Amino acid sequence: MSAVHAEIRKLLTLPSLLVTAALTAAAALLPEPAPYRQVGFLIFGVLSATHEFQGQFRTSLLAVPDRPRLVAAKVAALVAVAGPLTLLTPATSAYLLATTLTAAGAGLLLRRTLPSVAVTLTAYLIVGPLLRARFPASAPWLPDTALLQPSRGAAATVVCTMAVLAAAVAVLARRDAA
Amino acid sequence: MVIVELRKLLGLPTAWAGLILGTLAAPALVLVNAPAMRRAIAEGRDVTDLGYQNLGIGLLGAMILGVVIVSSEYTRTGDDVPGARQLTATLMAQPRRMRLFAAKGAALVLVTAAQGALTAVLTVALTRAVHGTSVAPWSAGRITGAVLYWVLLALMAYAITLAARNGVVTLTLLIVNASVVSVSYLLTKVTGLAAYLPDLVGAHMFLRGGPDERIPPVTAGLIMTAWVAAMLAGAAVLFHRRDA
Repeated sequence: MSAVHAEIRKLLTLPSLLVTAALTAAAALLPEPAPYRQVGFLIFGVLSATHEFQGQFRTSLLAVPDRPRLVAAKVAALVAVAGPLTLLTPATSAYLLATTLTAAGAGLLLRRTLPSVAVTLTAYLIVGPLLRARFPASAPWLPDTALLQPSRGAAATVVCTMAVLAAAVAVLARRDAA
Repeated sequence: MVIVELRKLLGLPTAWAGLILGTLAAPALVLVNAPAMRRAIAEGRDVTDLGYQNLGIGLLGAMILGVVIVSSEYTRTGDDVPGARQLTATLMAQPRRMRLFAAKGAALVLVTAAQGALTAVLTVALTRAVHGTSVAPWSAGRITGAVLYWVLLALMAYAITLAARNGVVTLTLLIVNASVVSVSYLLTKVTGLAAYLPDLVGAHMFLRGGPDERIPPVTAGLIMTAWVAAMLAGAAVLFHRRDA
């Protein structure tokens, strides 16, 4: 529990995360178009993971040496912090939360903020919509379909989040810390 | 100076990701799109922009280059020296900031121009191979326009990142704007003047078709150059005056 508590405090006290959260909330209230709503959550997720790798990660591991547990604590803290934000748009809140976690997983895997932001934004805003436009049959397999058609892509969203987080746990448990 | 900046830029893994992604994305899209496009052509689709319209996606690579050439200077170098940034060493080697600014810009222009030219030629050649030589004629003017668009967009990313001193802001802005629902495009629904925003007006340099009102390519190029020059000037003032 104390690990989760620590992670929540980290999330709530970082200026860059607070700014992102404020912008995310503002963007979430935009009526249209739907794809923009997820941008803030993607960045929030990435930053929540990558800020550790700017000099803090070894200290975190000193406090919580069990790496899978550290990732679990991070996920729990992110749910606790980003959860209320997603409630601004109740219809898509589950999707946005899953997407935030996917972005955090990507951040844990890639460790650097800029590449992680580039990869997640490109995947969700450019590759996803392009693939859907060219091959409509691919829609149920893409993680970002659920934002537009909640009944169609929900499974893909959940599977994608699970897969990325599992990969993050596996890689983090094996890799040198920083 | 320029050679140093080139070596620094080409030593970054993210820059290579941008180079490879940017160069391969547009030709790949031609191939992926080929069956659907053949059908569309058979049904009498307007083919003026065939081969050129796919170039847009590769621009992401140029933007990434423009961002990392600055953001790499501002990120922390390692865990053992918190707070240390490459910029400190760079400014020690070249304390004249305007020279540094120009050298970085020159390195970026060289790399993105080479990349843009390669991608444009590759994409048009591939389109001709896939759809026949009649649909996408070689046009030196349009390819030059596309390369110029490419370089100007990279310079725009460079200017914004230099002002923000943080790559995430620029990358978010530019990717959101380059996405399928572009902000600039939405603005054109509100006011016709939005067609003169840098990213939209620049596309007129190499695209001829489309439902929108046409802006002559040279005018379009001049307007976009003016936008980018203004942004670069703003960034230069900030970089010159501000604490590093």
